Amino acid sequence: MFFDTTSYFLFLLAVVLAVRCLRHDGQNWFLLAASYFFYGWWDLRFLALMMASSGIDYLLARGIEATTEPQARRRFLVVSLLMNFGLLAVFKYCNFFVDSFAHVAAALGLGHVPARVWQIALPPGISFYTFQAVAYIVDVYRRDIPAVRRLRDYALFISLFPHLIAGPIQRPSHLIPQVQNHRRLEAEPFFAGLLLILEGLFRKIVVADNCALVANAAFNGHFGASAGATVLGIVAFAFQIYGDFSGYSSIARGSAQLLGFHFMVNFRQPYFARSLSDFWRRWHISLSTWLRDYLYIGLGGNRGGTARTYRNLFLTMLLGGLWHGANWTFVIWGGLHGAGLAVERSLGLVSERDRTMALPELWLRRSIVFVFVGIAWVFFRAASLGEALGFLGGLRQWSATPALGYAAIFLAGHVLPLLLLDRSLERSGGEYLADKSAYGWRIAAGVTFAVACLLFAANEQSAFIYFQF
Amino acid sequence: MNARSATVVLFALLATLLAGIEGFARLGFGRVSRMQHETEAAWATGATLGRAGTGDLPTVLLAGNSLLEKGLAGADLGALGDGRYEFHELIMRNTQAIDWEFGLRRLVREGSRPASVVLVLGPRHLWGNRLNVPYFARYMLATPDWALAQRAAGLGNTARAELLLANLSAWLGARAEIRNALLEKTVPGSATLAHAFRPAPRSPAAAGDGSSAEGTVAIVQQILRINGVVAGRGSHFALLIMPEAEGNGLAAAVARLRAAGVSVFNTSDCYAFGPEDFSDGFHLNTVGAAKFRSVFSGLVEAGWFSEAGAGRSSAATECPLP
Repeated sequence: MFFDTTSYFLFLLAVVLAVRCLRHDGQNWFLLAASYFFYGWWDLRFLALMMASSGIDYLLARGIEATTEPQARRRFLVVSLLMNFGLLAVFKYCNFFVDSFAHVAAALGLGHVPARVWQIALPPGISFYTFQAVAYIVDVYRRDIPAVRRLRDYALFISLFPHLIAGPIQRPSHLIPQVQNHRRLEAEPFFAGLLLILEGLFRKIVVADNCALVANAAFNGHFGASAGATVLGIVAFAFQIYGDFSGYSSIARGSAQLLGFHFMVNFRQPYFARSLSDFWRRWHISLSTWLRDYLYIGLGGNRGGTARTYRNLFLTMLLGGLWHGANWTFVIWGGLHGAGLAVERSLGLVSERDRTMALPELWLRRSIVFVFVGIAWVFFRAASLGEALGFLGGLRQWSATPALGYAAIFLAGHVLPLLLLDRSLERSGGEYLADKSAYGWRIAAGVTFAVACLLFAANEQSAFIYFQF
Repeated sequence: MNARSATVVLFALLATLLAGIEGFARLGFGRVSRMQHETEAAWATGATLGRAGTGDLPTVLLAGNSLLEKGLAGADLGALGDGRYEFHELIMRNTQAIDWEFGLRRLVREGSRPASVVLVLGPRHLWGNRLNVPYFARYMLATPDWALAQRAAGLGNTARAELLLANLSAWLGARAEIRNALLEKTVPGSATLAHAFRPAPRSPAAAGDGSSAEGTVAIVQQILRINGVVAGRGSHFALLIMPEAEGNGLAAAVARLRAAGVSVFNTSDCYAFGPEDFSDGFHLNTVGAAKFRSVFSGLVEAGWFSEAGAGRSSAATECPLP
């Protein structure tokens, strides 16, 4: 049940109506059942896996809290981490490591190693709910939050359907109190939720899905191999993935608000970033802050000298890349960002985030960041390293076709509205278009998004990119 | 205005928008889009066909996709019938055999009883179970066949629900066509872009090999199901396989279908079409279409389109002279 399907909105409508008729206890039971239904709708087999891992984490967290003995607490933590990352490794990375081992063995002349012993299906959302579970167990271990008393509440924290499949990864300290305490179903966040959903749909089905047409054509060679086709493909994919994931996040946040929850903001106009570290403060914020708090700081952060800081930055981004998928292209994507962040830090550009800049400098910086991020996206998009390098190799050839010109106009027609929307949000600091304006303007914005969605949604629906992670 | 009243106003406006666009898709779209008008008119005619047409000629429904459209482009169907048949063309673009299995079920359900139904598809369209969901759901699927169609296509839960919703809502079904019509009018070079944006093949058949054992079995099963739908209501069924630049390896499937009593004409078995006859390797250009029309005339002359003609299993009907 993808967020851009009619069936999702019928499901959401039914859940919202039911939740408004129930008291807090009944709401939580109903939301848990609805979330499990939502997850089981994809694949019933993996529902049992999520329920089992939730149950075990609940017990381990209670165990950590129940004892004051440091070694026992650490044992519970290690068991939980092993279970969570073990499941992730088996389901997400097993084939990757087996394939890689087979390739290395073949390259070293160690004979034929049969690759892909098993074809393991990836449970939807496992990367997201695993990180949420790990954050919970670590926070309980650090005594930042108490363990949840009721299994139902913990299970709902993990499985609440708006964030279940592709985030935003919720912090336990933010979401668990909302699950446990009475939620006020107020009119203002409800209205804002509707507008977030409409804007999210616009980002996804108008911007991202139409950009996907250009990106797919460019990456599949339908425009030929040339610098123009490569640049077009890079720009198209940059806005496809941004529209896609920011749209998903907006729909997730909006859906949560209709149910009385609040989710953290996941995107803040990332292509307006003036440095790479600024980009990561704006892109997939729930993941980048998770990586900072549970991995980078865990590795030592910026304590221990310059060399260790660079190493930690690089490792964090490398693992962040691997989190996205079991492919060397993701490792390279993460490595590029890690190296970029380290270089930026060594040049002292990180501390300049709040400095007022003249417009030319500001836009020059933004352009450099966009070019770097766009080229890195090629590795993220390509199925293999060879495909990525082959695509970038098109930059050496100069030729133009009418199709390229038409595609550029088509792309501009879908990218510019998103850029204007982001410019408005950047200026206002708002979470959605016109959110600080009078209700009439907000309604007008919502209706405009709806009309655009009704008339210009792309024909070829493409699944949300982050659903595969 | 407060948040509560703003929510009510927003909901009311959204409901009005949805109702408006649904009404437009049901009542107005066919009037503003020539292509849509032609499709709706062709379907309506197809659904009311009886065994005999004007002058008591046996009616023949030619059902197919854009390959048929390009193959008979500019042809006068009345003249092609040569006083022997009354041809009716029903073109549904981007369709393949599985779409027609249910499309013909719906036509039959709506009362269509032509003397013959000839399914005209390319070799790559004869098997595969991936439905062109919104379009198929709206124009070719009868609601009572929904359960059967989703099982045949092996759809997941979401696609299953979307199939039903697109079948019930004119806007969901015609959404892509409405957008295409809008883009044609507003985006420069939309035809060039449509080619560049061509989607990935819809089924393994599009990229696969119909001559494989697996392909042969799938084709035979699919075509026999369609034959059952048509023959079940007393109409004669025939399969006309359009040519491709590189020919096809369907000999085994064709032989098995003929052995099962299905009338099949595989154009590539009889006539050579080269790359110069196609605009893109699949769709015939004007030169190829002229060639195909003469093949088609040969079939008319040989009486291939009627049950009696197809029954004469001679070399002449399998490869009639153009």
